[in-house]
Amino acid sequence: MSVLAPLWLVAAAVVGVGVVVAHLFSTSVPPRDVLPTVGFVPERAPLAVMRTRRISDVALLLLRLLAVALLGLALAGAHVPRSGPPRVVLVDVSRAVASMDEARDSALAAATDGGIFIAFDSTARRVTRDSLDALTVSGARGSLSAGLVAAHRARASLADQRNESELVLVSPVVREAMDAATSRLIALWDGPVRVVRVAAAAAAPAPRWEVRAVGDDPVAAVVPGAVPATRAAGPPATGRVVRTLPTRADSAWARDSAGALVLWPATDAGAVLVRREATDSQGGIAAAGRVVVGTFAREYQPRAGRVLARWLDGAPAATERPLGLGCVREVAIPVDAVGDEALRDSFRDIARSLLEPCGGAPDFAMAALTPVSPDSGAPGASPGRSPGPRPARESGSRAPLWLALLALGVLVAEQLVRARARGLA
Amino acid sequence: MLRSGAGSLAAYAELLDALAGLTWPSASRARAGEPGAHRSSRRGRSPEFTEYRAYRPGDDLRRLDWKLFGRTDRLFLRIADDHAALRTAIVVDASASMRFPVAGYGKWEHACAIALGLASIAIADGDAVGVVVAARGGDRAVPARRRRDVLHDVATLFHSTEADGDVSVADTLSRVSSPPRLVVISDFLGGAERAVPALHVAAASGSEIVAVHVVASAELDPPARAFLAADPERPSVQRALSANNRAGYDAAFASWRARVAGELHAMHANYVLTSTDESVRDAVRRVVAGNAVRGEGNA
Repeated sequence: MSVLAPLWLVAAAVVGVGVVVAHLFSTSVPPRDVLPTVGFVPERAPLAVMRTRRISDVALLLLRLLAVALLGLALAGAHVPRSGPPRVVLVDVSRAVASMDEARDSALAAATDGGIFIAFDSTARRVTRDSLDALTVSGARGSLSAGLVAAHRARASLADQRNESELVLVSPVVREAMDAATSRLIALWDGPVRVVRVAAAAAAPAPRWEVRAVGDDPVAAVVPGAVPATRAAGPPATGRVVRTLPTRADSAWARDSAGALVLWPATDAGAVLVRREATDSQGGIAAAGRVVVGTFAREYQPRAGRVLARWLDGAPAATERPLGLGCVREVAIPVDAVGDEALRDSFRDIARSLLEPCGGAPDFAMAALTPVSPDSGAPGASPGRSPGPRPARESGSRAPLWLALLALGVLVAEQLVRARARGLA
Repeated sequence: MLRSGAGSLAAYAELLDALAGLTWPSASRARAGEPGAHRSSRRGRSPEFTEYRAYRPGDDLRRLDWKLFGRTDRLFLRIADDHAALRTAIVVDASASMRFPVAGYGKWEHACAIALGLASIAIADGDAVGVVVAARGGDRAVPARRRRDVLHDVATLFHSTEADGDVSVADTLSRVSSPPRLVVISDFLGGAERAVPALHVAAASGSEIVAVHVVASAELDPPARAFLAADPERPSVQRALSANNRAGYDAAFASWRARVAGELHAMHANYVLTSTDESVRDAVRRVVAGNAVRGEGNA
């Protein structure tokens, strides 16, 4: 129960105490008797006030206290917030979140009984209220769409209980977490959607890459700001390109330091990549909106993961999969040590797209979250539904009126009880 | 209606026996009328000698005492008092205030017994006695008669009358044609308080006024407990009487009684205040004794 003006409750309490005290000083009409000489009795109030140790007229006292309490609640604007639909709370734990504590507190504040918590970064998973404390910010790029899909699935489990549920999105809602499906997924939500923005992380420092290669490696030439992996001085690297055989230390480094481990073998690729059943050639590679045309012998393929680059036939040429706090990328693009292929701008662009931090280059710019009708595709075009998240409704606006009416009814009952008591007397 | 089975004269037998032999002399010389026990204001030829008076021209020669003239050679008239009966009207207040205390012996019973006692004495004196009860719905009366059976009629009248309502004794008094002796038995409360001015009129017309003021012991000494007193004649009048205002009540009631007594004494009425605690016999004796003292004084 919430009250708008608690001072009225204090006033009601004071009045209630007064009522109790008044019942200790019972005012009673003495028994009636005939006296013909009543005309000689000095006129005074016919009521006799008597102080008693016991509370008199308990029924009247209770009714009066009830009336005072109801009036106090009515004047205080007491109301019971409607419990509302069960909430599905999406908690962003991606790299865009500046403080997990802030996100956790916001999620707990928005939670309701029977609600569902879903933590998401690039993937989404249901968590319990108790396990919220264990959540930490991952180095992964966030995907609102992934979270929303999980929320839709979770909502389906609640459909038999309520027709409508509320979605609470605790996230900085940055641009990198948005994709083309995000607005449509929000528009599909049948119920109020509330966004609780938390602070976004500061812009990431310039990436620093280590390259472990043998000799005059052409890939090393396209890595911006590359430093040899053996050099320990300077700030820690955010990425490591391994052109040789990877070691266990490389995996540990990626897992623990949220670094991007790029396995792009120059030799002995079979130790890192998966050999294709048949070797063929492809005429180009597409990645990051750029295409490199050329003849590439395709002997190996990367393991399954997020596709970063594809051959022209659509097969993945480079993938990324998470590893601890970081990620591992496998690049199956052969680069000849001779020739000018590595010097072409298109190749350099594709190579740089493969050398971004895990989850791609961070883009923590705040994004607008506007539901888009799944039918029209235009923002806010859904008929009969206002664009944007519907605010959660709160009940109780009429509660004080009902309380006042109830108090009035109690006062009427008090009058009846008092009249009846007089009649009996 | 009388309680305690006072429906017949037999209920008053003990009282009547106790009052036997009492006389109720007139407070002043009775007006000439039927022969009776009271000295009349008219001097006549009664065998009972009273005094001599010197003859004055014009006197009745038949009243001259010739024997005395023979001895003294002077003319004297032999004077003797006439005796006349004194018609007595007894007005009894039957207002609601007389029905107090509600349970047990009350003012109404007390007043009826006093009225019957006085009537029996008056009958014994040879006076004609009539009783008028000022009751709700009009006066109820037993016409004045000298026969003793009037007492039975009076007892029956009292038995069939219920003290109730706001009755004006003053109106009843105004309807009673100035009898030689007018007895009012009332508590003089409520409308009966206006009886005092009515008695003034009766006294001015030559009636001998006897006022018996009946109060209840519970009025003189109300219960100590606090209670809401209600006027039986005007139920809307209710006042709380408790220890806080008891003294005020006592003072006001006593002051009023003194005022009523003073007004009645001022009209030379025989005023007797009697409480329900007092025996009827004593109250009646005080009434007739008061008249006797006054009568001796006047004589």
